[in-house]
Amino acid sequence: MKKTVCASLLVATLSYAHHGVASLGVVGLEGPGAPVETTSSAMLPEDKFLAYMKLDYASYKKYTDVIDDEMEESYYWMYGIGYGFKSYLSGYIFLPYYTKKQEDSVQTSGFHDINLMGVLGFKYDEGFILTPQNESLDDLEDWHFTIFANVSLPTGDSELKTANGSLYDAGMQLSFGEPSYMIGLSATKWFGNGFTLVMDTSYNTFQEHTYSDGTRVKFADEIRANAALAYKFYVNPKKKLRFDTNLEANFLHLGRDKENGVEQEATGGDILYTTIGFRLFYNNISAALGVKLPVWTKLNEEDKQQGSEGKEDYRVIFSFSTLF
Amino acid sequence: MRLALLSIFFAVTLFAHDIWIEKSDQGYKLLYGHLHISKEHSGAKIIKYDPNKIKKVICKKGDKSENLNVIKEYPLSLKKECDELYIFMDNGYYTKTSYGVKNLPKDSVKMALKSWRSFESIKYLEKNSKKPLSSAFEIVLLNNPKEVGDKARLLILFDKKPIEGAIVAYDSKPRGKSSKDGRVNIRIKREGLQNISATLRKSGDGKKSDEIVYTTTLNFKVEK
Repeated sequence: MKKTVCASLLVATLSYAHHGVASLGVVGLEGPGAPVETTSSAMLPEDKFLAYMKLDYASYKKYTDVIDDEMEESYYWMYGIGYGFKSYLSGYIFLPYYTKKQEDSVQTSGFHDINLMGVLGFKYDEGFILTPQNESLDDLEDWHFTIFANVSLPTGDSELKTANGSLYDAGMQLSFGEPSYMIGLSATKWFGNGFTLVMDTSYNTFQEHTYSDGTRVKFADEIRANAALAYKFYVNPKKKLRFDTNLEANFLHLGRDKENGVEQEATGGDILYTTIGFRLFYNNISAALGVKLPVWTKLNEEDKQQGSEGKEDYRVIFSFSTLF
Repeated sequence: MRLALLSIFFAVTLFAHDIWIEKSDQGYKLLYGHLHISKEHSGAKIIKYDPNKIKKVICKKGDKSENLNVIKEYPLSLKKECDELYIFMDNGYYTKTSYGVKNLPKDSVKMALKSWRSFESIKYLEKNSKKPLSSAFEIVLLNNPKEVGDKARLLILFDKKPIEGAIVAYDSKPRGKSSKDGRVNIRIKREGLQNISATLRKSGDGKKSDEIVYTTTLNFKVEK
């Protein structure tokens, strides 16, 4: 069972000081909000760095009282750094650190595959234009978009072995073994008041990898579609503090994994999550916390897919980012 | 990234009052006060000003611009047809003291807390030439917004050169800052007389004033 690298970029928004001085890249009091999980269309300010950290914690439902290798929980840490090459072009490097625990104290833990991501920002203002360097509050009300592309490089370990010397299941490994590719699109509309609508969709594909025992595994392609509504709930201009609440719908479609060219049972399906969370902006720091719950699932073999996406009790997502 | 946080005091002093030109059958009238009164922008509708502070009046009709000699009386009234009318004022020095704000330079008062020199200008557009009239601080409207929701695409000039960092306000509410090429876009939010202001601050000599504050306003009408 595979866990993907979700490269939701909760970047700091363009912002405005009290009474609205446009100040690119300052996490701010005015302007669009940014959700917890859905990818915002905000770009990094030119020549600025973003340091980023995210934890996606999953606690899985268990169905038996006996010790039978049920997945218990997982911690997906993501450390990243981003740079604004241009107001319309940002680049990121992400280093994931994963811990996957089963109920019998079996776990794999370590750095997963490095991700490289490029983001191209554009907007609609009497036609499509690249995201400009300077935007007024009125410009920020325009529809903003990004196209993002991601490649993961197999820098993690895909040959982890159990105590008896056999390979861990592919889903427990710390690498996909081959590069994976993702392309996505985001759209953001700030309504000029407290509300921001954010949507994104992405497609992630994986290559077949042959393990040292000769097994060939191709993880299934993934399609994600997210929609979020962020609301500016509280602002304290003197303290340069802003507090947003977020409500999100997160859809995930998983195909079937293949082993030696054969589609595997108990893999794949459709899941709809809802994420309820909030985001805090303080100076040039942004922190978000959300709870993600599966509200609807249509898994291929529902009763055999313990420990997969859609079978969580809950997920908790925390992210922290700062511009410098 | 330019971190440019304004204090509440700063914002209030920038856009505490409006200046606007009213057009009627009797001609143009220069007024000062609060054009659109709101909870955030309240006070007397009309505030009297000193007409002697008016230093230059330029009227452009067709391709011809002329400096007008005006009768300096309150309120300034002009019975002339202009495609564009530009008025420049030197408000002199202001010094904030512990006993109030005085219209005097810093070195002429005791217990000075903060001082500035104020230059103010306003332009009324009847027909938009999309060109500057003056060599002072000025807003040039680069397009012709026709209705509420359209954007006014502005060029902010100082000494006929694009200026970066001018704070631009609509109805006294700051909406953005001019870019390196002097550009900023402001959305039209009401019909009738538009009041777009830009403010620029420069260092003073430290003796008479701590800084120089340039404010310029653009008036034009949107009918629907």
